[in-house]
Amino acid sequence: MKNLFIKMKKLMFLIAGMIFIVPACTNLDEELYSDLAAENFFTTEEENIAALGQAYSSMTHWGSHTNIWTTNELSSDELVIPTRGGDWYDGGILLELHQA
Amino acid sequence: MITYSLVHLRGTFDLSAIVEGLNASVSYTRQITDTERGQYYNKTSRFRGSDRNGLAVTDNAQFTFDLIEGTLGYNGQTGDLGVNALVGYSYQEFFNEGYHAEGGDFLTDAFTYHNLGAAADFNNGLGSVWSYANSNKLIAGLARVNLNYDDTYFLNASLRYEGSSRFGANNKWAAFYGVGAGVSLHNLIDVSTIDNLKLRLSYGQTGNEPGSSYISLQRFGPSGNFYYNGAYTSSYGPTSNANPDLAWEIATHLNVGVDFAVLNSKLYGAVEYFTRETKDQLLSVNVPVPPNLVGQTLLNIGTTKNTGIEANVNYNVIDNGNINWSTGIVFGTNTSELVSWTKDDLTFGGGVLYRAGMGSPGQSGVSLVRVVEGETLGQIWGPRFEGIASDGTFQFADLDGDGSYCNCDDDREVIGNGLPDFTLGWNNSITIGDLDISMFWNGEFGHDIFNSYRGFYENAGPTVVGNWNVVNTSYFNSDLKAAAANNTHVEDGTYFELNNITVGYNLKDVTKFMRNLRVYVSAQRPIMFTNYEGVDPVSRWTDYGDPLSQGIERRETYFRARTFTVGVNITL
Repeated sequence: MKNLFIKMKKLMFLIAGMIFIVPACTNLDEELYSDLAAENFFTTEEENIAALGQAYSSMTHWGSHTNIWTTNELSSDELVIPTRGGDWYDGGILLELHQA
Repeated sequence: MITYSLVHLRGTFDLSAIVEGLNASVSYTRQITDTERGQYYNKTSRFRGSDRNGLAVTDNAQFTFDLIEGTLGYNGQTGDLGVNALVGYSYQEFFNEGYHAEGGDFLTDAFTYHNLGAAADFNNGLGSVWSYANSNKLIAGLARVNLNYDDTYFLNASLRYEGSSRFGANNKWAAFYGVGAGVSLHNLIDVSTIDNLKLRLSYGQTGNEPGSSYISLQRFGPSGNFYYNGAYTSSYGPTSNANPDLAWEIATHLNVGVDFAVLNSKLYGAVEYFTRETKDQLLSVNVPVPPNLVGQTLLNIGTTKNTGIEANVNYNVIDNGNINWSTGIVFGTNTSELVSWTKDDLTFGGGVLYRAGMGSPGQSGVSLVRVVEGETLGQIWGPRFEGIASDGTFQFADLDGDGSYCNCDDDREVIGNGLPDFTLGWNNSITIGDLDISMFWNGEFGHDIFNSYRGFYENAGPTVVGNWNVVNTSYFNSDLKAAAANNTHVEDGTYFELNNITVGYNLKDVTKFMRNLRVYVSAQRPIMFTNYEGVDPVSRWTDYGDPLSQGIERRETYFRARTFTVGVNITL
C-alpha cells in the first residue's frame, strides 16, 4: 500500500510537471531575425522617416514596363519599347499603347 | 561540404505498477545540418570568371531541428477485446540561418575562394553579401485509440490538435480527427478458398502549412531610395500584406477498401476507392492595391477534390523451392476538380482563371492553363493552329467566329489534358537457384504535356536577338519564323518505362572467411517507350508550385538520369 502511494506521488509530480511545462510549450508567436514587421519596426525616428520616404522613392522607379509611369510615357512620343523578333512583343500590348 | 550531427535521447517507463499495461516515453532529438560551399571562377573561366577578373563565392547554411515528444500509452486485453490507446505531446522547432558572400576582381587566382578580402570588388562597392535567419514551430497534442475484437472487428479513432507558428494570429491551431473501421470477413464466413477478406473504411483529416515563415505578418523591407537631408537614403516599404486569419489548409480523406487473398494466398491484393477534398487551400493570389499594400497575398482560397481508385493484385506464378516467380500489378486513377474558388468578396473572373504564364521572351501575357470552377483540372489552354502566313508567323483559328483571330482568350480553347487517365506499375521477382532477377515497369497513360522548349525555340527565326539555338524535333517546320504557343506544342505524354532491373547472383560459403558473396548488376530507367519529344513525359501536377496548373514542361526541366550499377556484397 505504501509502495503504491509512493508511486502515485511520483505520478502526481509527473502530471504537475507537465502542467507547469505545457503553457511554455504552446507559444506559437513568430520570432523575427532577418525580417521586419510591426513588432520590431517603427521604434526610432530614423525608421519612421525611412518608411515615410517610401511615398517618394516609388516615384523614382523606372520599375517595370507595366507601371503607371511607363503607361504615361509609352503612349506619348517620350518612350518606345522596341520589339526584336518575338522578344518584347508580349501579345502586342506595348506596340498598341505606343500607337494609340 | 555537408556536416550532419544528431543527438537523440529517449526514456521509456513501464508504469504497470500503477495500471497494468500503462507505459510512458519521453524523447528529445536535435539534428543539425551544416552546409559549407565555396566556388572560384578563375580569370580565364568563360563562365562568370573572365568578365569579373576572377570570382569567389562562399555560402553557408545551417539547419537546426529540435523535437521533444512525450507519450502515455496503454495496452490491454479484456477477453476478446484488445485496447491500445495513446495520448501524447510533440514540439518541433526549426531554425535556419546562413550567409552568402561573393566578390571578384582579383590580382591572382592563387587564393581561390579562401581570401574574399583580396577581391577588389568589395572596395569598389561591387561585391555582394547577405545573411538570413528564420524559424518556425509545430506543436501538437494527440490522442488515439485502437480497438480489436477477436481479430475480426477493428475500430480506431484519433484526434490531433496542432498549431503552427506560420499561421495568422487568429488561426494558429486546428483540430484534426480521424475514424476507421475494419472487419475480417474470412473469420465470419467459412469458405475454404478464401484466405483473407477484409473490408475497411476510414475517414479523417490532415493539414498543410505554408512553405515559409512570417507570411501572415505585414513585413517591411528596403525598396528604393529617396532624397533626404541632402543625400539619397534607403526607404523601407511594405513587402507583404498582413493576413491574421491565415489558417490550416485541411484535406478530408475518405477511403473504402477490400484486402483479399485466395488460392492458398497465391493470389492476393487490395482495391481501394478514395476521395480527398482539400479546403482553404494555401495559394498566393493577386489582390487589388489599394486597399492592399502589395499585389499578392497568400490566402486560404478554393476547394479541390480528388477522386480515384487504387488497386494492386499479386500472383505467385511459380513457387517450387528452386524456381520462384511472383508478379504484381499496381493500377491507379485520379480525377481532380476545382470545386470552388471564392474568398469573401474576392471573385475571380466569374470562376474562370487563366494561369501559368508562358513567359519571356515575347510571350509574357500568354496563359497556358485554364481553370474553371466546377470543372476538372488539367486543362491546357491555347489557340488552334491553322497555317503559316507568308511572313513565317502562325495563323490561328477564329474560334469565336467574329471574323478574325484576336490573340485573346476568346479565340483560345482547351488544347490538352495535363492529367493521366491512369497509372500502371508491373512488378516481377524471379529466383532460379542462386540467380535472382527483379524488374519494375511503370507508366502513365493518356496525359498531354505542353512542350515549352518547342513553344519558344522551334522555328527558323531567332526567337531572341542573337539566339539561333533552334529546337529541331520531328515537328520542326522550317517555314516558321516566329514563336507563339499553340496546340501543336501539346504532345501525348503517355509512357511506359523499365524503372528498375536488378540481376544478382548469390554464392554461399565461398571460403572459410567469406560466408556470402553477392554480385549484381542494376539499371535505373534503361528503357522507356514514349512518343514525347521533350525532356521528360512524366505528368506535371504543379507549375512553379502552383497546384492549379498541370501539364506544362518548363524550359528549366532537367533530364532524369539513366543509372547503371555494378556491385559486390561480401559477408564475412
